Amino acid sequence: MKRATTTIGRRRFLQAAGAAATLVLPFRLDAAPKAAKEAVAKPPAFEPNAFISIAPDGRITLVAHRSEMGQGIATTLAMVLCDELDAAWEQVKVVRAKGDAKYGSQNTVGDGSLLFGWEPLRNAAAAARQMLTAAAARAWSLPAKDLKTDAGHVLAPDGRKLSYGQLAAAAALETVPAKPVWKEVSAFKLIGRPTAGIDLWAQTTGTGIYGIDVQRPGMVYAVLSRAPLPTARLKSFDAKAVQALPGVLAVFPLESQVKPLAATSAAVAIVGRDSWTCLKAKRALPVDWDLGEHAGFGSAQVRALLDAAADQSGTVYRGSGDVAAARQQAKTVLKRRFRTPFLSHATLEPPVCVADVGRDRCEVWAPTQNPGEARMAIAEELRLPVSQVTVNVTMIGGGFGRKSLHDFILEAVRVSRKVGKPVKLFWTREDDLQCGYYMSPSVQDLEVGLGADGKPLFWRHHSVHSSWDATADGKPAVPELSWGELAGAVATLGFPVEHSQVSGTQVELPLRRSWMRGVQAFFHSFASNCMFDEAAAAGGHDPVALRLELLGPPRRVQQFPTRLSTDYWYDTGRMAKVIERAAALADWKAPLPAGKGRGLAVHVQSFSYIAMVAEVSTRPDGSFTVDRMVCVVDCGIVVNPDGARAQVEGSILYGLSCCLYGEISMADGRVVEGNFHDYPVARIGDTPQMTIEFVESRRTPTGLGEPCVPLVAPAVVNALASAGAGRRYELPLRGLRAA
Amino acid sequence: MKFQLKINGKPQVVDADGDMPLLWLLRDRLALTGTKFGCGAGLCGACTVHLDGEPVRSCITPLASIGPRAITTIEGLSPDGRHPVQRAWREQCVPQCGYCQSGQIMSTVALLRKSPQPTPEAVREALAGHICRCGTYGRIETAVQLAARYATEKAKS
Repeated sequence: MKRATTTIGRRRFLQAAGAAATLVLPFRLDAAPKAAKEAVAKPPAFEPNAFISIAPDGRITLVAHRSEMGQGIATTLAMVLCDELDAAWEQVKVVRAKGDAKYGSQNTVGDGSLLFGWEPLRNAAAAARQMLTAAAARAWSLPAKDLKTDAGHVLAPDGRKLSYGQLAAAAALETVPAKPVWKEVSAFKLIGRPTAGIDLWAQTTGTGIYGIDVQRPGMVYAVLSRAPLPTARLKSFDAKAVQALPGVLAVFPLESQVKPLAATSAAVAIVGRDSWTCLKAKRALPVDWDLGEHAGFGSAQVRALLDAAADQSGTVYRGSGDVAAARQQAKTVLKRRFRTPFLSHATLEPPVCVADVGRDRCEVWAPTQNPGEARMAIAEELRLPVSQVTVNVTMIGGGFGRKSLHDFILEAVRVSRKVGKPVKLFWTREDDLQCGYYMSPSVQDLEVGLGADGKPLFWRHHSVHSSWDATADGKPAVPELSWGELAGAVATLGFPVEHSQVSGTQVELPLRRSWMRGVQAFFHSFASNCMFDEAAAAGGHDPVALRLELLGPPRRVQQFPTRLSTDYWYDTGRMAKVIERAAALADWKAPLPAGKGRGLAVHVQSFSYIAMVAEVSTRPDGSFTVDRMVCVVDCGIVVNPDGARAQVEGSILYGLSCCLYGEISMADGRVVEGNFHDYPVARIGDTPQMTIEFVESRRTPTGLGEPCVPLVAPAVVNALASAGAGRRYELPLRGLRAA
Repeated sequence: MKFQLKINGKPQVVDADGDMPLLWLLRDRLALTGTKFGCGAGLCGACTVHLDGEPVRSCITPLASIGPRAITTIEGLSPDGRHPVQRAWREQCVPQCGYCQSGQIMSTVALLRKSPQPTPEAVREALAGHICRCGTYGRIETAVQLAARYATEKAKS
């Protein structure tokens, strides 16, 4: 058996890398004796920590503390607990945690749930298992080391056994081990077994309760007539025009507020007896907005601002050698400008929250990715002690980063406080696309010099976009991009170049920004993978062969100064392995008929290594189809192979939406796109054949929700180039496709 | 206005505006929340229910337009949740967030009723109006064929 390793290195690294990651060990060391003391009437449940409860009748309850939004994390986290506890999966009950600091960070973003959950959850379960074993050892007067655990029982060598339920009361009196001992990886029974999600029944019978489905006694409904821009001010509205409509209960303005993770624009709230009443009144309500300096703002201005910033030198975040000198020596220099637009998450369940604000308490039901911080934001808003605020996490109809923000929760809280009733405040699709938070648009300027051998001599990457830090800090603007926002450009470089420079420029734009699945790696990976492909072709090299050659022998490379364990340095061997395997699965070397093409993209994100090959068919009319996607992933131990596969499948479709269709544009100081007719997303007909494989591994699991998204667009664009359809430098590829 | 409706086999009299889309009656008044709101414009399919077995978008179906047609929602598809399409969906672990799946399932049920062994092209056509932001389309295609098999086996037995 091996002892749990320390987490310090990883945590420090992620802070350095700009990830929103604070690991708090959610161990409640004092919980067991306290629980034992408090229970009088009935025998106490064994609750050695916040995650596990074993009742004397044998019921085992495991708590999933991160938000489940389709990524399967509730199932995955519970599997980790269950396997380390040696309970029987069929017998455990998995419940969603409410927002509570005792779980540590519950902010379900940035691929962190398993990465940061693995160690505390295994510690929590291993501690419980050891305490149950110790209790059995005491009962039998046998040494604990001679006992085994399996399927919710402690087993003696002579065949006697006691269930965890039978041992619960006695185990609660045992000391919580300071350093719980983990199972060997080879002893996992559940981890590694394809396991159905815990919500399957609810999801296929219409019985699951999402945020939008919550109903409370006496509840009323609300929608907002929203300012077109965060900076817009309410000039006037005519409440009389709708107040007399049957079912309309109240019409009143809400001021804009800038708060961390929760900036809300000005609005007019319409409260009514049902959703339809609110929607009708919203349509009928005349509201006049003052757009101020942005009255004429449109996509041309967005482009001009980005271009102007790209033409400046920017802040240098990382560099090596002497790019200027290398430029003189280079035989060929390629300079390319890549562009990506504003994007909307477009979760199918729009933002929604039910809030019930009382005089000295507040309870909300919300599809939130971030319940712990939401609870604190509500407490601050209402000036209540945190203990008086309850945040129930519902099923979530898609998150993708949008629902880690608290704006929609605070809106519901404000309206409920004002009307003194429980309120369901929901966003329409138009609200979501036109008045929400957005992935920043970007310009990526790449410059690559090739030596006489046709290989990169220098590599310069200048990233221009809007920072997400303004959203996180609640400031209206920040001076420059944070180091973490450039990490994507650094990581995707993925090979040593003697002379290199990564620089960035922050551009202030009038829409609110948010992280979105794939984050900045979406545009960084697009640009660097496309640039690499073009540079390889210009130098007369096959991109797979050149990638592998430049990676060199297997070794770990420190990409930037960090105190991180070498386990998390860039591993050229792992990268090479996924590339080789993807190339083999895609028959990379087999010739293709005319009009077809293959394209490679590679990427490291959240410590996972991925290679993707796209296969496309082009037609003489300029249209094309994405026929097949091959994806090979090394994300350490795969806890739930079926769920992991689903994440890759979903990432490919999410990436295709961005690649083929996604674009939020602006005109006259407003967002143009209003619904799925003009903000199209991938549909069933866009689905390629998918070949997905995971590298077998015994390493700590790393991220999987996001890292496959940024490879899709560059793989497709490179495949189009190889098919003879020319190189593309701007997303989306709308217009290239047959209708 | 009063409407006499038949919802999941039960006659119901409701008093509501004739222009209210069926979606909001089901969700807000009758607590049948399995039918989802996604776009309000018939563009995403999340609100799909059956009128006399035909799939319709309840978000753009005013109550006044329904007449005597029988309404079936995801809740009324099967008394025990074991309709062949539901079983196939679970067998393939189709849902991720699950939000769109009521609608996808309702359209699939209607497809298989008309076309018990649909071609892959017919499946894509029947479900083209549905959006799944999680990207479960590949599994949906497999699950539809599996459901067709389940239904055929059931019919034979």
